[in-house]
Amino acid sequence: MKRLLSILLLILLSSNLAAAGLDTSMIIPVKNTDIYESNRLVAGVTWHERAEVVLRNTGSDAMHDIVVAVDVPLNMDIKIPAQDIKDISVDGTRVTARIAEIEPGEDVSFLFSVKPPESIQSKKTVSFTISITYEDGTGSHVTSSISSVEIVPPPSWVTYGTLLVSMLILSIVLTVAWKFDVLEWFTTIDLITISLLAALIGVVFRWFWQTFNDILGPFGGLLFTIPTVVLMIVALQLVRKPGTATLLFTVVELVAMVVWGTNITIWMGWYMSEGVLVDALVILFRRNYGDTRNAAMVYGAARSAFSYALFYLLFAPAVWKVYYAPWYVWTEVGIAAIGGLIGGSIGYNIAKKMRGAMI
Amino acid sequence: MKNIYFIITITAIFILMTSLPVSAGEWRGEGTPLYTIAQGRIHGGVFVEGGHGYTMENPYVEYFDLPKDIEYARLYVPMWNYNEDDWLEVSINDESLGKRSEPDYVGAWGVANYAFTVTDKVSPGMNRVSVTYHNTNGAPYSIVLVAAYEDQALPQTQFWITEGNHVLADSTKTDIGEIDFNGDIPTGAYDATLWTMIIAGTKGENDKLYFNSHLLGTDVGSAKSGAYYDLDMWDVTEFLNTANNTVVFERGDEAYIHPMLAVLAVCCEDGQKEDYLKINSQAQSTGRSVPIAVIAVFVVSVIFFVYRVVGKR
Repeated sequence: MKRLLSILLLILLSSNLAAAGLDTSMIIPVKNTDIYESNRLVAGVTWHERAEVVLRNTGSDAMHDIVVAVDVPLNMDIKIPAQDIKDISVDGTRVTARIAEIEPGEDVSFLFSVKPPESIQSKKTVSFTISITYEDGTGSHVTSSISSVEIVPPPSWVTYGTLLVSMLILSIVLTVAWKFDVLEWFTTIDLITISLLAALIGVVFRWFWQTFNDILGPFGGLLFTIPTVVLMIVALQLVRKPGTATLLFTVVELVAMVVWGTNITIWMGWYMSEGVLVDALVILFRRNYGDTRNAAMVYGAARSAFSYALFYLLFAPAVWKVYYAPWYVWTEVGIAAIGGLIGGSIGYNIAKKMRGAMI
Repeated sequence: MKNIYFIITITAIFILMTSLPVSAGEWRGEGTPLYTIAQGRIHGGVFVEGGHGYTMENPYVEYFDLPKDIEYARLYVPMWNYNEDDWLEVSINDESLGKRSEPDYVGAWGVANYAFTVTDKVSPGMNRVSVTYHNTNGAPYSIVLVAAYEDQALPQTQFWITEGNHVLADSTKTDIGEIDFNGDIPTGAYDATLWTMIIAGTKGENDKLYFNSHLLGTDVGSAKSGAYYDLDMWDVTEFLNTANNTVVFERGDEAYIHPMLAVLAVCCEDGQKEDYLKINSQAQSTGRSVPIAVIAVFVVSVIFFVYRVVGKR
């Protein structure tokens, strides 16, 4: 019991002595954390990513003569942008900032930028060690903390893999088309119908979406998802041939390439795969070309969720080297799926009327 | 009859859609080729700095450590996805420049460039520039400051500041952006520096940059200075002409790039001519438009589906 009281007394005394307290945190990359994933860097990006070290005096006494040293892992190149704190330097892999004083309750921060490595073999977690010395009314103090950051491999292999998969899908589709004379199945009217619907998706509704997406804020994607699914269901119902969706989305990409200059080698796989998925579902549903509302809605939701998931989880990291926060990705995928359901239902009604009028 | 109503409805929706007094974000054309907004001769130098790429931070903050005696300063905020309800508010050292909506230059799908003359707003030493904005699906690419400063201890510098937002795009087959720095270069010029800013360059898609037909670099727009952002400085002394120097941005393999700034500063032997500053009037951004392809596809589609309906009868 005596020992316990002694320990408690010691804790109380020591807490009274430590008049200044320090909270340290590091933000990397310095981006909007609502959208981008924190503490994750992509190897192979062409630019330096900013990091911000934030110090907060949580005590009741001012601290002064603060020296903060950050040891940067993996020999990453370091730059110091212009900022309020001027006494900041780089020596090898160490960033050192000297701060004269931090008042109680005050936040002080400084910036540095690091260039992630060109490549790493596999995903790894590295540590930025932050060592701080400072003085307050009770004397000198030394403290340190570690900020763990995940470095993910350069998406180059994903890019090449994506290209390979794109080409593979294209080759398989072309081989199947050639082997089974697939294009012979389609009449001229079918091909013109597919081309025009694809052009409506790739030109008119893409422009419509780009133009008006702000109106719906985070739901802006629906302005493209819904019309795309509507026209996809119309194509399925009017043409009624296996491979219609694949052909449709292939032409969408070709049209987008001609009109908007979209990079076909990278995006072809993305467009075609959603068509392949829908055609596979049509076969699975025993050649139901969106003839029932439920099937049309399932096709729409599957296509939209699949294409958004593919975009955020594969193409965005591969092409733009951007990792989105998981909650953001799955929210977008969820919204897309809902858009697909709505588009499928509307598409079913429109397609039914159009079939009645045209066929 | 029902089908006719259906077609009329679709056409009406399209007309409504294209005539709404809306949101820019729509196709804004080929933008504004770079032109000289200011030029002059000064005993001193030219400051060009900025950062730091597309990060969607809000506010977006950049610091500038400026010399004394700023004679002319121009601040640029390139922005992605401008729409008419959007606004941004620039503050320099916590002094607001007021909210602005309409950008100075806009092109393509709403790639915009806001320009501010801030000669009286900046101070010697460290300046904190903060941009707060409302833009649902867009954000600044960077904040860039160009300043001409006087320092009688320095030799005379002749300079040209050109700005704009030229859309070099495969879709419009606009491949070249040429900028002329008109005027004679004084004899005794011994140091010439060119700064260029390109937005939306992609690494691996090879663009080219020329100064008086000399190749300065390939793949210049490669997001070196931040996501979608390149601010480069070039020593062009050896390529300098005695008059009328030219910079050419060549799109090359890039699907699209947006040159937005080119500044040339030439150091001359001291005391040759009077110092001067000439500020030109600002060019008006070209208006928005519905791309021809959109109209063409829609019209052809309507004609085809009408033909199919009529054909059935």
